[in-house]
Amino acid sequence: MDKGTLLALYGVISGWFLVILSLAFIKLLLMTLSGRRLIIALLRVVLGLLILSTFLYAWYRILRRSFLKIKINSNGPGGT
Amino acid sequence: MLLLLTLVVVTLPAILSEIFQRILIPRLIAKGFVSKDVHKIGEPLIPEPVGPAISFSFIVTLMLLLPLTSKWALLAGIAASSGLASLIGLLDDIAPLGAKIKPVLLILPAFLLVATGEIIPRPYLPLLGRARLYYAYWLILLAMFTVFSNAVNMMDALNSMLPSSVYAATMPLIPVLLVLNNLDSLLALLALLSSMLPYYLRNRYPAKVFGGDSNSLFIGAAIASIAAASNTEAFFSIALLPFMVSGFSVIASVGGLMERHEISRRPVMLEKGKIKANPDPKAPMSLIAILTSDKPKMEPEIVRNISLISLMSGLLACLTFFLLTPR
Repeated sequence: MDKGTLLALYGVISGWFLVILSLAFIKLLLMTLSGRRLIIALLRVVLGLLILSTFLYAWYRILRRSFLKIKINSNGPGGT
Repeated sequence: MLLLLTLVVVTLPAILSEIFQRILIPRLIAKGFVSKDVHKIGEPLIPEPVGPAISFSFIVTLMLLLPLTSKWALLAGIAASSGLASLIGLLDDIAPLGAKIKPVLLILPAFLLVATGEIIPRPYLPLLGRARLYYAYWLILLAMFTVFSNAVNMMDALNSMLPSSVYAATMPLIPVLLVLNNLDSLLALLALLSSMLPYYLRNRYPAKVFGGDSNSLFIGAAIASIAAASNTEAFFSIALLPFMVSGFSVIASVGGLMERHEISRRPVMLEKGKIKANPDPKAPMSLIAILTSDKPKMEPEIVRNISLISLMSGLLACLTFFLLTPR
């Protein structure tokens, strides 16, 4: 299996792991922020989305860096 | 009765889709509705869009099923919302709508589904079980429609890449719908997969037809409707991870929503009949670019790789439901 296929597989598996990890954090959040008030419900949603977007950003940066590394190593530095 | 219904949804949409495509394809050619297959040497002209034949066969089948199911409003909602997405796609096929308007328009089908009154805002979530999202759910549903439709649309890049990856990603979720006893969603999913079969056979390398946005947006909206109707949004999202990876990577690397022709640097290039990632470090990162970052590949090899990755994400979604979701 070539490096490109491995990176694509890594992208999908790490994406799945990211979803599970965010849900684990959200579960922790739900246990910490208990209550039925609207502000608590909103806080949960906002914090949940914040966790998800932080993980998504970190995941994208890692994937992009690995992609560029493989591409440059196999093609040499490009530029059009 | 269930066996008979299953038999109908497995065979009828495929037959109807084949008939409608046989009617539509010669007319598309006669009227000059053809597009270049840019990944082939000589760029042959291929009839496009055959999407309406696929969406119409799906809608007709669901309409015929309405009197036979208990939740007829839900099936009507799935048919209506995916039909509207197909119409939006057809509009885009005829006169491009623009990269910023299309995602906004694609939330409209969600309203049709919500209007049926059959959507329960209690999705099953891994680790958390059945959530109660009485406020946030509706916003998530709107976003899901536009994300699914656009993600599926962005997977329509190579011959048979879209149908084969949709088959691979969604078929492992059939046991999930069976266990949840969500027969209406199951029948809708089977009808969708069946209606895509003649298109898949014609779209295989070297493609004889293209689906167009009227096909890809319809499939995305149909999957979103089925997911919402069965409260399995999270599992369909996991199954469509390769679609999301591809879509999100392109959007993030070009810095926003853009039409294909607006992207100055292409993610991939053609070299001696093989596809390879554009060596320019500023070129966008798509799933095809990732797969060809190490070495150039032929189109069928890339599609095979993507189908395998989609199958893996479909199986991950299935396992997540059975092993990590409290019910």
